[in-house]
Amino acid sequence: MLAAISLYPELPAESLDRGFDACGEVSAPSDPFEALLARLQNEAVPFSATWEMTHVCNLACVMCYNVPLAEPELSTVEGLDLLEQLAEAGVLRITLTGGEILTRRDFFILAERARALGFALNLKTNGTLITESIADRLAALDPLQVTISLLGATDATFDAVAGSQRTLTRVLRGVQNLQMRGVHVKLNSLLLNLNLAEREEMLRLAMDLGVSYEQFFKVSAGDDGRATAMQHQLSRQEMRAVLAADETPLVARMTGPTARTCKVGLSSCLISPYGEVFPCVELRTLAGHLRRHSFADIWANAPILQQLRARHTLANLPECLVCPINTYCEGRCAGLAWKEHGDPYGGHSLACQQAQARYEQQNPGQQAPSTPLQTRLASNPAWAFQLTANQE
Amino acid sequence: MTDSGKRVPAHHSRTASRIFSGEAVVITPAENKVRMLNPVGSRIWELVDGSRSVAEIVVVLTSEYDVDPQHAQRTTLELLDALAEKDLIVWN
Repeated sequence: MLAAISLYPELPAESLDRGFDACGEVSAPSDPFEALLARLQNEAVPFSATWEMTHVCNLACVMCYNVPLAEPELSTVEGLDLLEQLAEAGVLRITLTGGEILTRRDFFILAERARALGFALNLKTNGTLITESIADRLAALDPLQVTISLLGATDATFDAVAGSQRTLTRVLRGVQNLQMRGVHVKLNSLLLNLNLAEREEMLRLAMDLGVSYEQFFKVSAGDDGRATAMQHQLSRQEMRAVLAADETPLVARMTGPTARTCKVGLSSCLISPYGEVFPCVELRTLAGHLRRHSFADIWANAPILQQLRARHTLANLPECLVCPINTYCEGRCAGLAWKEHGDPYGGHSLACQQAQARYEQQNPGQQAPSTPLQTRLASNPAWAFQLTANQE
Repeated sequence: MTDSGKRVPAHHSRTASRIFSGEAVVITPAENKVRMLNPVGSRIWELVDGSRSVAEIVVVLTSEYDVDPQHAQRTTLELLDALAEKDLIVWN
């Protein structure tokens, strides 16, 4: 039967591409594109995927969370097959990250195939390997964005964080090579106790370069749960000072018992260099392995993904639900909770400290109360060890 | 069929796109824009593959929609010309 021609082919509705935050707060759609994303989330369509192409890297950052396994990373053939499967499943946005993506000899074979398959590319690189000829090839990929870490405003500081030499100089060369070719560059600064003193200089540097820029606090434990990087996390006092200086608006994540606290499992996932599929970059609970099952099968049937889709509201987070400062909580992450305590439905120390810093920034002169998680951990020495390094 | 029916459209190489439940979403990285087409426009986007001519696209459309071929060709060309103007397609 023929459909009626009442639907005239109209010019497309336009909106700015504001990116796809796979783990941010779930809010009401503000335009047709947002509405589409909300629909895709409701229907569990995989709109976005992150592929850690490799865990090989030419830097040795103190806060790196990658834990290389003693098994081969996906080959070129397996990578090409993965891209085909993701395209077939409907993924539009793909983030290629590492490790350092440019250490893969077949990076451009895979990235060029990804573009040919109609993916929109986000590239995450440390920027140190972007020569003029590499920048030419990256620009030819038309990436949505190339994201590079800025971990210091001087070589000395950047080197101390990245375990390398002349890191800032090399990163700036890479950034400028991309900018000269019209590539949209975003710099991210993870604030650590090693680079906090250069926070304002990093901001000025980014502004002088004219790039998008963001600073954040979130230090991740290793993929195996080791907490060595946490010794570089900012203290609560330092977080409070940064929040006050930046006057960043509070973005509450826990708006009511039935509100989802993040989008994990809805429309995005992470693929490791070895073909493992995880719900997100932090929550390394195995959904399935691409060397044994198809992506479509894993996406549709993995118990962890089904569980996260069905059950991830504030009401499912027993300690967070009764937390006296949960309305100040901006950074609670299922993956970090899982890494810290083995429970994706719990809280975690960074989120609690960040909420306390936010409470004190919003209520000058008042000390934030302890969270239920902190109270529980304080009475349990076995758990308290991990927190002592991070407490004021 | 007029000469314009022989023209062959292709997606511009700088676009990224998928069709979700019949709705085409087209991203242009250089402009940082997302565009969505309505169902008929999405079907046309889907049929644009760099090898089908406008006339061949119209044949498919007229088999699926209750539409006069001339009207279908005219409106399809209007849409494709507008998409070309926005660098979303190119004419091969």
